[in-house]
Amino acid sequence: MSMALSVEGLKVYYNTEKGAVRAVDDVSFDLARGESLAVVGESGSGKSTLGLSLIRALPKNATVVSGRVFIDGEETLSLSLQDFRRRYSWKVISMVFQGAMNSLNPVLKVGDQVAEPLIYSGSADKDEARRRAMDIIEMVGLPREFYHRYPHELSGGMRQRVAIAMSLVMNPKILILDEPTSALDVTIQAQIMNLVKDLMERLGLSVIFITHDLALASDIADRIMVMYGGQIMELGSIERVIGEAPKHPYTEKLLASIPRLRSEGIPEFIPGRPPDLSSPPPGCRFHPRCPYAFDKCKSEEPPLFNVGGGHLSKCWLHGE
Amino acid sequence: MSLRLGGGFKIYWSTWTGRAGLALLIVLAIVSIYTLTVLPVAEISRQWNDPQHWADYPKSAPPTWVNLFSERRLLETISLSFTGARLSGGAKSQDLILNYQAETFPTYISLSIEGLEYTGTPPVLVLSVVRPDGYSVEAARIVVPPPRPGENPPITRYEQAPERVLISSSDDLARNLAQLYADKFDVLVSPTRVLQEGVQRYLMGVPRGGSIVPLDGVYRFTLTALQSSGETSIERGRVLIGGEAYGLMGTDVIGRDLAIGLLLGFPISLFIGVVTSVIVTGIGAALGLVSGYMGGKVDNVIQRLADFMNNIPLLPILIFLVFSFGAKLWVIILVFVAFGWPGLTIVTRSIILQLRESQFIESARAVGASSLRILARHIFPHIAPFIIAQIIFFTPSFILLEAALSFLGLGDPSLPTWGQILELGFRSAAVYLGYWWWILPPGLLIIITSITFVMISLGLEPVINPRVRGRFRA
Amino acid sequence: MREVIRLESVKKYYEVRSGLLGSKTLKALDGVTLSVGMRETVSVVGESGCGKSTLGRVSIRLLDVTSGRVLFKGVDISKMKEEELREQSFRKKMQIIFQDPYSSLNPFMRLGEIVAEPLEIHGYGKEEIRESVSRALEDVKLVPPEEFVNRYPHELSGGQRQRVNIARALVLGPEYIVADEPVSMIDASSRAEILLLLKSIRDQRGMGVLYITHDIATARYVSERIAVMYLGEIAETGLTTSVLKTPIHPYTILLLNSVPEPDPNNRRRRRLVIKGEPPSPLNPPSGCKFHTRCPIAMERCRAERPVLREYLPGHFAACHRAEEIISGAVSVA
Repeated sequence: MSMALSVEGLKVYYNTEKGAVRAVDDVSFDLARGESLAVVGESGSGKSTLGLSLIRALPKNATVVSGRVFIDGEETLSLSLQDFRRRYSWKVISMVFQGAMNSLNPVLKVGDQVAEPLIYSGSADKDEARRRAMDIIEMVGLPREFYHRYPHELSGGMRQRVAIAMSLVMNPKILILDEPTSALDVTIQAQIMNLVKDLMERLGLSVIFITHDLALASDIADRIMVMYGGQIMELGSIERVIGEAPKHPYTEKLLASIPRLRSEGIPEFIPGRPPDLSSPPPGCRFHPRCPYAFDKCKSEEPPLFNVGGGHLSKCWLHGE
Repeated sequence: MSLRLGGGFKIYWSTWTGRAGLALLIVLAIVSIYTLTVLPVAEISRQWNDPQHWADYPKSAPPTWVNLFSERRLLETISLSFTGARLSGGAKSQDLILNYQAETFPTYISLSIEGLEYTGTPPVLVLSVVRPDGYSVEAARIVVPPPRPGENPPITRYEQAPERVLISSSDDLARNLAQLYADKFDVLVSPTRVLQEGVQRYLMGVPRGGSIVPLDGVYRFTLTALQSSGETSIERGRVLIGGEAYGLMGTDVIGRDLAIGLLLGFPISLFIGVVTSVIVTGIGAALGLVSGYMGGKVDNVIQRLADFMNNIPLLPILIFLVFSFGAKLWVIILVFVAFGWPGLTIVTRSIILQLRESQFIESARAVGASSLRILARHIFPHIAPFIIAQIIFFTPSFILLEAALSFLGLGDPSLPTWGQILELGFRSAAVYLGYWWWILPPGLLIIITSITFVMISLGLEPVINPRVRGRFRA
Repeated sequence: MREVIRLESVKKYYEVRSGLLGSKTLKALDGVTLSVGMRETVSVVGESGCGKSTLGRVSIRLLDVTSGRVLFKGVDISKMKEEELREQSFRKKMQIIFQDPYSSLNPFMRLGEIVAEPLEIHGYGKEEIRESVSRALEDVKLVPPEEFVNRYPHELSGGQRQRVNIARALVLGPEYIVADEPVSMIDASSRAEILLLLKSIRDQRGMGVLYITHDIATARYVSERIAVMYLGEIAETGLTTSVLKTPIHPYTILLLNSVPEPDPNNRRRRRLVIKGEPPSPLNPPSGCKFHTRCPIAMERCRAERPVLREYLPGHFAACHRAEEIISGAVSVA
């Protein structure tokens, strides 16, 4: 059985005044059906760009330089944009964009916005679309009457539920969530996380959960993919990466930087700043900030070593 | 939003509108400076406003360069002038040579004398013409008035206003020519007929086959002073052979040299545009700044005033003011300022309101910065690029507005502006009479000047409003 | 312990226009009493809109109070005019570090100018300013200072900008600092650096710090005491260890429960969460403001507003059912 999604050697560059910015630089991974994968990284790690490239919604100045994306076994990057939108967007793969809750059209009823893809694609008439939108609105934990509300009448958490409802209205199999809780209070964040967990179970979704927060990632993901400077640093099951111990120094330091509520110890920090992706450092991209870096790290880029059980780590510490 | 001068200029220069706009502006500036330095304003304005000056010129004459494009050559106006002539009782005279080669007759011929000074008996000035065929005729005679009681020699005459004789409608000359034609060509015409057909035709023509045709060749105009004693000197004088075309830009219906008016239009248009724009922007931005930063009652008063000014019609007020104070440049600028500031005030205020919420403003308050300091150090630098852009953006609108007002007859008549040249043209039915040289140049200049500033604004756009450059989400 | 700042029954109300003619009162702070001692950090924790940022700004008189008193070392500064605050040096002794490292630095000024500005305002000499700026930059580990003074904010990372903010706040030698979510907008890997820096500077200089945060986990290791706010009131306050170990107020208990931890065992487990969203502060519930979302609310909670009482040593809560919760008679989570 094929994977829900596989990405092979994806490179996405931005054209800027400073030259090409390698936002996503040779990224490969699989997403199994029903699986949830957390993509974790700090700002500038390329995680959002990765998400946008999967649904073919990159900004104009970004180019897919190379790579292939298979959805249900079919290569989709070579499809025309029109074809992709007709066959995949919303129906098979959809995304809750970062800040989507603040991008709702203020003059349209939220229900109409949820129903829009249905009507637009011609897959339902108006009444049917409205009924379906109300179902979805109910499914994300809002009263059906909220169909008739306007965005300004809703709180942040409610708007985020609407944004999630919009992404689900065409019954996609794969859902990408980009920082769905970053602007929300922790109590509302917990509600949304519960909702996402619910939806995954009820709808059998495969989920890519993009976040900067390792703790949040471990709250939901089966597997975790840690990105830094446009590349995968570590990829493995949550049990191995978080439960046992991270294998990559970056993951290790990132985990150590999280303030813990329920354990002693003082959080650490990673000195320095993320690399400039228009001229990334040679060798391993993390080496300028890595406490374990040695000569080889500065000159040669490490491959993704398999450290057992499908657990990958891009670090020379794992040997030659 | 950050603006560094060097980088900003690089971005500006990278747009073609920016380059073209700047090039045009430099041209406009050079012409203006040339106008103001080479031709002093007083002189130009005299040449434009003093009827003495252009009374001699052909009326509604197209520019001379139309001959380059037309089959029938238009006769160019020829000025035979002299300065500092010394004349004495028949002994000394002033000669002016005209080599006339044309298919048509002049439209008129005139003599003017300026700044005459004499000693002894009052002179009688005589202008005689020797034609190419050797025949000579007396063309004009000016009797200089004798000294008034109490006036001592040297006596000066024609200083304020030049003495002007329109030779081509002189009865005496008509009579002389009728005589000449009867004696030499056996052609009998009455002086009245000569006058009717045009004295200049008979003066510069010969009869052929029942009509008069132009006589080409060298004409000698000689000015002498008949005087029993003493000397006469003339500061300036000229014989004008009136043609059908005149100068670089032609003349208007009263004979003014349009080149002078158009040239003076450059500095005046720029002045009105830039000065008004600077004042409007300054006041508008300052009020917006105060309104947005102070808030409260001050804000309310300024905003209501802005709404009020924004909503009362400009034209009736302007007409009223022009009637009360006269059409003066400062009145017009004042009205522009009074009605120009509200829009900018409202926009600036909204920028300030947004800026006021910035944490760095709060941070300045937290360290005890005074309002004045916050305005000067923290808020002003943020809106300065915007204000500069506004000045440039407003400039063409005021140039156009002034032109429009002049066109409605509400301009300051003492200064020639392109709008006023246009207005007089339209009022004189220049369009219907086909006097294109009177309508097109001022119209084009207004458009080009406006476009210059529009292009500069367009070039500044990416500098002031940096689009997302080199930023990306990841 | 000597108090550096003390807020007494501070209320901050805003008149908010609603409809054509009517106006409503927004009670951003509704009777808050709180103090910060020298060499002490007090964390103010709460969700957005709970009034925690207003509290911080009121405490340094960036905002006026509607009623109540703000005492700086015993002097009531709540009614002072801006000029008095400046002339009597209160503006030097109280400072604030802002949340947003991007909008809190004037992009047109060099770092040197940004840090020097407070000194300029308070009339220091040129030489003194230069030395103080260097020292402040060194204190926040922007070294060597001469390499940074001529840079512009956009050349720095979020963490570095935040350190500039701290340097600017420190340069006048304040005795009390409000840190308003100083790390919420910078990358996770740099947060600890800023917090540890703040802590070490506080220890060196013996300042009082009011640390405002929505992230209760960071409060744990920077502060001695915590105050949990809900809708303009303090729901619970006490020693950090006590509040985190034995939270009393149901809101605190549920808030702590909402915080994710990097632990695979949480995966796919539903958290017990606070239902619904905070009510609008324009229309707050009667009685205990939390009763609309409280799983153990009783009739009394709807009618009667609970007062802060000390239930454990140095540990106060405003809850009618506090004793039952402490004794285990009722369970919230």
